[in-house]
Amino acid sequence: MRNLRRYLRTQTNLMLFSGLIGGLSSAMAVGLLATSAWLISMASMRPPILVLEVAIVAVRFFGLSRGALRYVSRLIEHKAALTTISNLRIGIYLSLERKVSKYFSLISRGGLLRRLVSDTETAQDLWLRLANPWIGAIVSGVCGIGIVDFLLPKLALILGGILAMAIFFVPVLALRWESTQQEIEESVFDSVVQACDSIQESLIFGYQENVREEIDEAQSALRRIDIRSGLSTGFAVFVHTISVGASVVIAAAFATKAFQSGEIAGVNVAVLILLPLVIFDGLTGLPAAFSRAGNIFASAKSIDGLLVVDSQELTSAYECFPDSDNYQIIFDKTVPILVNTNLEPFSGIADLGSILVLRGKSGSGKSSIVHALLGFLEYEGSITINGIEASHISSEERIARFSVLLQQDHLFATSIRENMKIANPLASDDEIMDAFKIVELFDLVTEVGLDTHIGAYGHNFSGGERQRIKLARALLHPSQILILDEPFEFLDYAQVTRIASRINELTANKTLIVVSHLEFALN
Amino acid sequence: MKPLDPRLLRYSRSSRGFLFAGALLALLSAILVIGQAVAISSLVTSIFQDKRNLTSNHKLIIFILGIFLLRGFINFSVEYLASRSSSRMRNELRAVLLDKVLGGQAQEIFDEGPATISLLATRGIDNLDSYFSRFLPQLFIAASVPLVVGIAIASKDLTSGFIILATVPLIPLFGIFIGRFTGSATQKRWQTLATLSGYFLDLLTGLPTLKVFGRSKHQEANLEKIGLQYRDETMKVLKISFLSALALEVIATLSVALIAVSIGLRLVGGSLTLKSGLFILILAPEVYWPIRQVASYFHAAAEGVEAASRIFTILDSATEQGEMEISQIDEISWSELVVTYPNRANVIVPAGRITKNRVNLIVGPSGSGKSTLLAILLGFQRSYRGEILITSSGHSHNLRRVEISSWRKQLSWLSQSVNFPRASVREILLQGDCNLTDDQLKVVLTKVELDLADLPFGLDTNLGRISEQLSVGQKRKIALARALLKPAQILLLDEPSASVDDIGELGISQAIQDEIASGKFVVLVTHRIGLMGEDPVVVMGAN
Repeated sequence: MRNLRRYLRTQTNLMLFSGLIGGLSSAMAVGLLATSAWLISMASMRPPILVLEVAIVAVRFFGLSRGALRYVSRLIEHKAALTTISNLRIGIYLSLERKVSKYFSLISRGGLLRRLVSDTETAQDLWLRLANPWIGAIVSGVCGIGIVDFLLPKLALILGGILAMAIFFVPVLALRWESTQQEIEESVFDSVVQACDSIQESLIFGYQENVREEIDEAQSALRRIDIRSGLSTGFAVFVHTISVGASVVIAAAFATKAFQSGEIAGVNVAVLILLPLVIFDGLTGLPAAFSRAGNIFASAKSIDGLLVVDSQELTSAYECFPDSDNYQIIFDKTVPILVNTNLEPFSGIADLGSILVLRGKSGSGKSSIVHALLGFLEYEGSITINGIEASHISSEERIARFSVLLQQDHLFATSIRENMKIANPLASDDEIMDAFKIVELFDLVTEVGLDTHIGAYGHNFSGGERQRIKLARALLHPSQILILDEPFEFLDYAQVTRIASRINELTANKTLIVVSHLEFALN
Repeated sequence: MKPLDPRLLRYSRSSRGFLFAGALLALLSAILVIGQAVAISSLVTSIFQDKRNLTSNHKLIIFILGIFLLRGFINFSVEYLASRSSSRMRNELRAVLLDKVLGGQAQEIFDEGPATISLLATRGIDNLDSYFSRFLPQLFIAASVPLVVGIAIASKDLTSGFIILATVPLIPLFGIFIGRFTGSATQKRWQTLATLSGYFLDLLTGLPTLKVFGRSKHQEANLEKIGLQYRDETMKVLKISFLSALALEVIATLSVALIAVSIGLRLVGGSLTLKSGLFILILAPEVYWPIRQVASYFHAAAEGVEAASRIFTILDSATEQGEMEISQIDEISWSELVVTYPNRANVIVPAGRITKNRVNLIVGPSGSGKSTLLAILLGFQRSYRGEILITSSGHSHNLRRVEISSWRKQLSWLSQSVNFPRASVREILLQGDCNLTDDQLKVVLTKVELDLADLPFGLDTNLGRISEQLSVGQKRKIALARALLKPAQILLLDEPSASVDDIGELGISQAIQDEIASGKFVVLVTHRIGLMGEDPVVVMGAN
């Protein structure tokens, strides 16, 4: 996970520091118990009160600083984790932005984008849930063993050995490497989402039973995994408890001998026997955390795969986009290259005054032709723009010269104005409203105002309205070449005719490529 | 929010066993904790004060080992039981929810769309894991261990008992107090957080759009700004919750320190024995720790409990069901229908009538309510003013009183946006009529002008979310074929020519004429008025 590590590493110092502080906080509990045990043993010998004063103050100090240290450690680690996530998001965005073709292969499959977002958040658990608690357990354990070592070095050696084994084995026993867990979880979720999405059709065509069976099957697979995970977590907890018990008994044996041979003072007997009860406390949360490790690793791995840096970018020298106000785009036996699909070669000419309309059977790759022109896809054959091969011009430059309406176009969860300004940051409100006139949204937008929030995925508007906002946005972008992929989806026949004739007028001296089966509207 | 919703017992059968076993294990572990304290304090006293050697203490040592072994088993059982039961209860809850939803009994899914329900049935129920496997077991422990241990301590030393009685209630009281004090501020913060965290997904979804407008390079600074803003807002929320955890922890540790010091002082005074002192010292943290732990799990569990209570509301809701079974249909008619949507103008469907022997055209601009009429006829939209009457062998029945599944048996439908389950093309077509051979299926596919050669694996081509091998148009043709195959009396076609660019109009017309000739009602929602050369029966949005 080399790529991910680059991002995690930036916060390493803070994370280690917070792990240390967290460990010290647990160590305070060790100190608290050791001092209390000493205090009580000492008190039973009825010394002058003054002797106890120091211990009393120490007990209070340990009690207070435990909580305080814990508070500080949690604040530091969460801040560091959130900073890491923020950087990770930027990294993921930039890598997808550079590799648009990878992006398209990603979004073509269901909820992967949503999953990517949640994976990014899960990646922080590598630190928060796994590494840091583990470091904390080591630190507090070492502090406890330190006290034992001060009192009775022989015993420290043995208890240290048990602790070291427990710190290693308890998480490992609980660890589930099964990345299949996440896959099965996803498949349950997928089936459920699918079932909910297709509920209406399943009621009419009566196939709910099959859907239920599929979900039940995936659920019982999930349960088997949960049961296995419960067994291994339980076993880890068992080992933890037994280690404590064994340590108490061993400590009792050593303390008896040392006390009788005069090696240690009697007040320390209680300290040595009670210490094992808290030395292992740092391990308490580890089994539960490590039982989810498989999922955390799986998320981290999928994020890592996205962050791969492509070294061989921008190798070929590009030609400039030709400057002209008369563009001719010629497709000659163009075949966009898609995995697993063989498309028919496409030929056609877009020219001033002659609109190129891509129609043809569904699935024949009309949108892929558009993507090839934009540089989102590689192609065979040729596409020329005023005689220059499109692939010789950088994708960035090509895109900059086109006005494009994509089928994947998205309305952002912000105001109508902000959405429109994406196409043309300099556009005035009047220009924006002019674009809305073309798509017959002028009245609606005037009524609700340009500041109206568009809602997540444009939910405040109907399907036809959303499509028209997107179309208006594409028209707002200043350019000599327009590429519109299915601009008339969800629109009425009569409306299509009217809007199409306005677009015709608007683009009289521009080059226009349209993917649509309503070609008649564009004469 | 209730820590334990009684509705859980009703909807999840295995929860009862879990609650019983959990309570039993918690009680056992309380007893063992006391036994352990007795044994260890006796051991220390006998070594330190009575100067006994190891061999004379061998019974105590074996007893201690035994107790730890038993505690190990109990801890194992708690962990295993929690994990297993959590899985079981979540699955059960998901199953009852899906039974209700997929049975068409949950009106919410039609009113609010599938997204909220599917989120509830997936992540929502998953969030219950920390509630089931962490919070509930800890709740049992918190309810039994402090009580039992507190009594044990008080029986040895009343003063310590009083300190516990005075300080323990501070923890829940303080917890509630802090919760009340910060609750509304935290709630507001969470909303801001939800908006901020949606930003990344929004940006990723819109990447192609930003790209084509040359704006994708300008987002880095924005992303960083929002990321840091998100971080700082989250930290504000976390500071509050960590601070309340700190307060509870300080109360707990100070109480333990208070007890330890008071024991020490009374030992000096000679009013307490060392054995009792040690016993209390070992036990005192066990009183406070479980309660504090419950409070910390409470926050993690809150999200899941929220989801659970929404699920229970759906499960509790009942929709009125008609009882009249319907078979032979002669005519369908309706008075003016009015449907009210929040944040939108009312949709008004003019009165109309659907008969056999003709194409029943329904036309109107987008948003005028064509789909609403279909949703009412299909029984998905149930809140409307006005009535739909179905004439069946001479009698008129109100649609509201018709048994819905017998009615839906008579319906076949091509929806505007097709949604297939994960299945092969053959399986999808057989949903229409399961008694057909491949050859018969091919005949229908030819009718809708879908060439099997265009499908990667012919009839075995897989559909559904995972494999997006087919175009929207191809999927709609398959859906149209399925709709034609179902032996139903009423065929509802919603925009059959949208996205299907190459079904010749003649082809569709022919298929539709065939259905009419076979005696079916054909309802066609379309914007191509000229398509069938007939007058529409309903024109929407005319007023």
